[in-house]
Amino acid sequence: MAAGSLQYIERYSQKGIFPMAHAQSQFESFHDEILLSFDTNAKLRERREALLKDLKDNIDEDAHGYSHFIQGSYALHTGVTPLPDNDPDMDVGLIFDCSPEDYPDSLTLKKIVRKALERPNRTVKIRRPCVTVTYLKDGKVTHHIDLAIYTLNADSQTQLAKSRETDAVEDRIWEASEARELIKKIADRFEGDDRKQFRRVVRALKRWRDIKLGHANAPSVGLTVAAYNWFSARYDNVDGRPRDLLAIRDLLNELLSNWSWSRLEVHLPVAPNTDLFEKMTEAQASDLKQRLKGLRDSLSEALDQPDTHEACKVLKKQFGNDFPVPPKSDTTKEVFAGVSLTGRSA
Amino acid sequence: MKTPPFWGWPHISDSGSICVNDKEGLDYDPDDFEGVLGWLVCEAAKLLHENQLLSEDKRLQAFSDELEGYLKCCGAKPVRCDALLANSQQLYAEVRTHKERARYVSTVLRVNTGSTSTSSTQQEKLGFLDVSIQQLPRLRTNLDPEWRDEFLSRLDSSQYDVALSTEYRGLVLRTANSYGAALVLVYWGRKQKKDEWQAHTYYLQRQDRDYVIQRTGGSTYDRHVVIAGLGAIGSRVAEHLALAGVKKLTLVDHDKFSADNLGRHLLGMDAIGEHKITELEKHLKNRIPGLNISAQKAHINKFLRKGFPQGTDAIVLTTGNSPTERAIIRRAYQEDWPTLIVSASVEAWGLGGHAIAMRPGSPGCLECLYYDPDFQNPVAQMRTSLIAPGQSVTRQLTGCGAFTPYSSIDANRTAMLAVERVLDNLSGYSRWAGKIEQARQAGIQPSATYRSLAEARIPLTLEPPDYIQPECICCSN
Ligand SMILES: [Zn+2]
Repeated sequence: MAAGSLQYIERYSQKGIFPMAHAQSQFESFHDEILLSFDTNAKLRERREALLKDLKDNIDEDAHGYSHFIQGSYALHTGVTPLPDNDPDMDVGLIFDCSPEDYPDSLTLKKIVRKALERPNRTVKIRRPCVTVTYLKDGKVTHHIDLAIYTLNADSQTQLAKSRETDAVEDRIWEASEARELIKKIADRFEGDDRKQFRRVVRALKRWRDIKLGHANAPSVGLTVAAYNWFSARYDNVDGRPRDLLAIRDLLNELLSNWSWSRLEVHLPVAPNTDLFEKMTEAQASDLKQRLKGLRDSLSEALDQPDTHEACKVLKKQFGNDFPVPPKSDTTKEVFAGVSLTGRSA
Repeated sequence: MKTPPFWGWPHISDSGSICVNDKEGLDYDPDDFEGVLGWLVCEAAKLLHENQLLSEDKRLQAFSDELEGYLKCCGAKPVRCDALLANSQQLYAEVRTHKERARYVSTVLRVNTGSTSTSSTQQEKLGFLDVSIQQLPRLRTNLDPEWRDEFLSRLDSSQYDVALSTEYRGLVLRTANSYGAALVLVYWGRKQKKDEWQAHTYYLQRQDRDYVIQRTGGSTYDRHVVIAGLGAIGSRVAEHLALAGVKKLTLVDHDKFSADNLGRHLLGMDAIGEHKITELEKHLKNRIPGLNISAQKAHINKFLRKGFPQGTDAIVLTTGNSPTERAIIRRAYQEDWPTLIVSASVEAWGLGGHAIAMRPGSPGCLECLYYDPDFQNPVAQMRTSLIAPGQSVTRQLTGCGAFTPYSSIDANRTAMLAVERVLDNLSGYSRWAGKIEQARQAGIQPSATYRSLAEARIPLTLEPPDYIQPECICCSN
């Protein structure tokens, strides 16, 4: 910390004034760095188009027609770039123009999809919630696309094919699953600057999860829905700019205070209203809680730094190397502020 | 039927009319004659009964509250009086004399303490007497020797001397009442023979500053405020401060008023081509009698050349020039000026305005808003600016002379914030945010601050601890 900083901390803490670092521009750069948007990522779009074309060209002529939609984090505007060595995955929903009654065994429809997509350079595997297409290059996995297969019941509610080949026939079911409604609910929860901050905060938390949590039992959509429930936007009282650091810190406090018994319960706000963290073991839940507390404490520590350089060093430890650390501010240096067109008058 | 003249009965005129209510504050069905009449009779009877129950002293005291109204009712003329009357000051009547059917008739137009303000009048000395209501015989518009004898007989010796002094052409009588005092002028003019003595009664229509301000429910502020920059905001600040009862104003500006200013300035057509301050001085003196106002035809920098203007309680900066104001504020902090400083500005296209008040020696100043709080670095644009950085908002209509588009209402709202700061005499920062439509039509992007204010996410008013920048070049000593 620069000598000047120490002086002023001393001077002002006596008067009860504590300068704080909010590192807002660093949070925004961090967000730009980790943002993965379907709309702006040509690679993702190409892959989707290629797959859908394949499906269209090769699907059994007798099969029902279908429409598709993007689901998952891209649709929720909470996609983050994967860590190195990971390729971005994608979730696509296919809604067939038929009802569950047309395929009492939901596996039948999944097999039709698999048959249309099988190729030498990829494997197509039926898993219980979806059909997973895994792309290979030189024998190594590059990425995969999950296809969720839906039909519509009499109430026009999307029904998800939940079945795999090892399931007994009676377990190959259709389950109400409102992926499109989830997209709308999450998009409509906040608006304007609040929504922008919500998305930045969720992306930062998801990146943190990718780095800090090794297991899949705390799915990132769980964090998204937790934020849907408990996030409140935070702004600087003076200049009205967003304060992401405060928003995340306050959200974590909410999560921690809503911890019930041994873990956090976060239910999907649409059918099938799954408790998203239900698969967590007790040890995993307690680990998650400790790590969330650690994150919360680091954010508070960063906030208490009068120097943004120091604050960002603390934040980088939590959010990883994509979080920028600006050079130390040199308080002894004369800085020319520049000239602005104010448009103010009297 | 001839009724005896009434005197000394509250709410009853000399002719016996009973006033049951002032006409302000009454409401009734305009077609309901019977109802209103019935109500009137009841109220009148009630009033008479109440008067009857009072002791004579109490009744006279209540009557003294309405002495001016009584005189108005019986036809006494009003006389303007915009000076504060005091025993120690010599009073004069401004008298105009004209010939009427071969006789000279003198009329008093105004009472003053030395300077006249009406034309073709002459100054005549008046005596000043504090009298109790009990000492006053029944007043009429025309008084005769009998009245004079009765009046003199009720005076004590010192009052008597004043009343009989030969230097006076009349007497101002002050009768204490629960509103302060009623003022009556008894004017006889040139010396007259004792048994031909005649006088006219006037009631004094107070126009002095204290009285005018009191009537607004406000109180006067014994303060001296300097206003630098008398444009659309500054002129409004001056007017509102004067109306709010600030005792002394010094206006500093060197600009002339032009037709371009008409759209949003306090001044009008007749001020075109004149210096703003001279015209404002005229306007405000006319607006608020007795206002102490000094007009300084100078740029604020020239005015402040010698440093702190001694005796100043507040300096309002409404120059529209941020660098000038920042320089003045820096100097004020360096030299520790014992004054409140308020800087106010309006933003283009109705986006809003700012008023920040600070006091040298206390942290939290205009300069603090020119820092990036995360890095303690100075920045070019005020961080709370309502338009996003890097846009030009000035417009040119005539090919030369750019101007910032904002309305008269924008200027007024901003002026009100500055005025409140001055009257509260407290440091702090107030802003307002208006509607977005005009800016949007002009293709102007609002800032994050504007959006947050417009959506009421952040407070309009802040205390210094909210915005103090510890590294501020100005206030962090
Ligand atoms: Zn400052």
